Amino acid sequence: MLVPTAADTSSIARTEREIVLEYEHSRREQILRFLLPAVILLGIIAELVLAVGYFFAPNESVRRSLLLILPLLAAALTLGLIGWVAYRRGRMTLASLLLLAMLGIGVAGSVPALAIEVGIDPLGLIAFTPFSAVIVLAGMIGDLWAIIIATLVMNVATAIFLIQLPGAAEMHALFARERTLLLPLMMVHQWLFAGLVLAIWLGYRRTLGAIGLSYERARQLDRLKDEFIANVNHELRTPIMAMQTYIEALRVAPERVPPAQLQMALDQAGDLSESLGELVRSILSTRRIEQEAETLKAETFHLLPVVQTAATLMDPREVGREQRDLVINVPSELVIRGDRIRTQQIVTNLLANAVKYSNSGTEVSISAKIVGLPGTDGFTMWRRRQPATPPMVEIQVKDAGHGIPPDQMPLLFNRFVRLPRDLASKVPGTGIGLYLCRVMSEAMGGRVWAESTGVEGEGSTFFVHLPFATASSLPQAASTVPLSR
Amino acid sequence: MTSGGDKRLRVMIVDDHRELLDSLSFALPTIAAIDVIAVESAAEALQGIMEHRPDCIIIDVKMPQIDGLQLVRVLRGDPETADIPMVILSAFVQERDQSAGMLAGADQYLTKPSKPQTIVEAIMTAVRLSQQERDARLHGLAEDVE
Repeated sequence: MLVPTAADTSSIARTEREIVLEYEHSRREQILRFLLPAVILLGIIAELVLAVGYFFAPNESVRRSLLLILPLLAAALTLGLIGWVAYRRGRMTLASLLLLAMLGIGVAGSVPALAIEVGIDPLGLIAFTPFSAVIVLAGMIGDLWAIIIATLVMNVATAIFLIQLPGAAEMHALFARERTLLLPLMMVHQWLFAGLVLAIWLGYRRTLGAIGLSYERARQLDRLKDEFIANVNHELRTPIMAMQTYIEALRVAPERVPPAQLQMALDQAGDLSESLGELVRSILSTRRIEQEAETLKAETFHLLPVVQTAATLMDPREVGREQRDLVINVPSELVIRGDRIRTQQIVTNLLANAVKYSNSGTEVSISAKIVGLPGTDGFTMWRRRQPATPPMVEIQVKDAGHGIPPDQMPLLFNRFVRLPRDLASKVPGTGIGLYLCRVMSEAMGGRVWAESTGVEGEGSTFFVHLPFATASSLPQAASTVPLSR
Repeated sequence: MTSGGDKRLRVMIVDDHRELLDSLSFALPTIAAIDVIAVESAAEALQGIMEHRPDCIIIDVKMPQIDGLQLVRVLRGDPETADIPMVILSAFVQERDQSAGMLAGADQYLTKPSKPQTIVEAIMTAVRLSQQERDARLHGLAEDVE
């Protein structure tokens, strides 16, 4: 899909005209995507029906006219198929031109042919264009049902016009002569026309839907950024003030500070400045995360030691003093292909979150298994026809904490996202950890997601998929893989 | 002290950030004749207020459960505590946050970060404010809003 995503639209360098052109391009692409196959399909059906009709033609003149129409339709179909190839290669202008040429030959060529051979007056056919115009209008204003209802109504109107309307027969000789042939022909024509309008309508709907989506996403991200700034603002102001308070007191009244307190005050101010520095660094790291994701190493390493290290690396300040039971259930033979340090970071973040958002005394568990090997899960049967997915190591981090409300799940892995509940609480955070998990796991060819009922105490489970590597692909030198023994 | 001679002031500080409580507990007695009673939540403040009878309360706005504005309203609504000077100390810096704080009944609104000297000044100003002045000011604010 060519509709730009929210991330693309952030490039300010593009002019308004370029942006409009891009959407225009995507509109055309979406319309062609539905219209071309629809027209080609209709063309093939018409060609087959007419070919069969040739053998059952009532008289020689019909057969002659069919002999004229069949090659015309075949030529139109050829143009349509070439148009489809052009569309697939991204040549939208060429594809549009070919589509128009196809319609031109198919319609403008076969109608006169029919008229001349069968003796139908083409001028009489013009009387039916308003009926088709109504169907087009229905497609532009309404939806699928509007098109169907408009077509039905126009069928009836055509029938009334041809059969019931007094004087219609006198108006044009064609209406009187060919009534029985003309009525079904016009009805079929109107339905074919409705099909084409529907294809265009689908194209429009897709484009507008995509534009709406990307607009909504950009707006959400904007709101998140605002929330993040407000959040960081609060996170920064308090420690800055605490640090300033120590320093000011020492500056204003050094003679009134007992020596024992002097050291304490300096230590506290030092700790505060350090954690402030850490906070600022973690905020600034978001940009870096994306850059680093492009330069990940492809190593082969054992998962278990990485998990063990990760567990010891949880930030004691974030995690708090209370104890949780950490259960590690990772088979020692599991080997991953990816970046070891980043994997460790992902695991650390997920464990730290599990501890942060659960009460002391509850259990946090981390387990891992292989998924996607043939015959290892229930999906293999119906996924067989799809390209085989490479086997993955699935890491699960489960807690029995506060859970995540399902409506807040979709945004969870975006930058700067913190749940409203956490913003109002004392739990520190900048909304970057899970974003890092997503960017890094995706860069390694995996993914991350979460499941939770949102019920307090039932907790949440975070899943990470990372590419599985066979143990034989481990490097012989143990330099990159510090096995824990 | 301007009003109470040599009497040391007792100030209760309500803030859910331990590090800020620690720093103010160190700084205020050092630079002024102020003793600090530090509490970490509005609930603790409500419990301790009768026992300690502070001369002034400094209140943070963003706190879990009962927030600072609610605490100010509760204290102003109770005849026992209605005349205690109250200073809000918050990271919310926008004008509407300030007027919300003043309308809730605070005497002063300080934003974080504020220097300890500024806090001492705010405490002194709040303490000097008589009940009559406080009522008059609140009436004035309410009329402004209308």
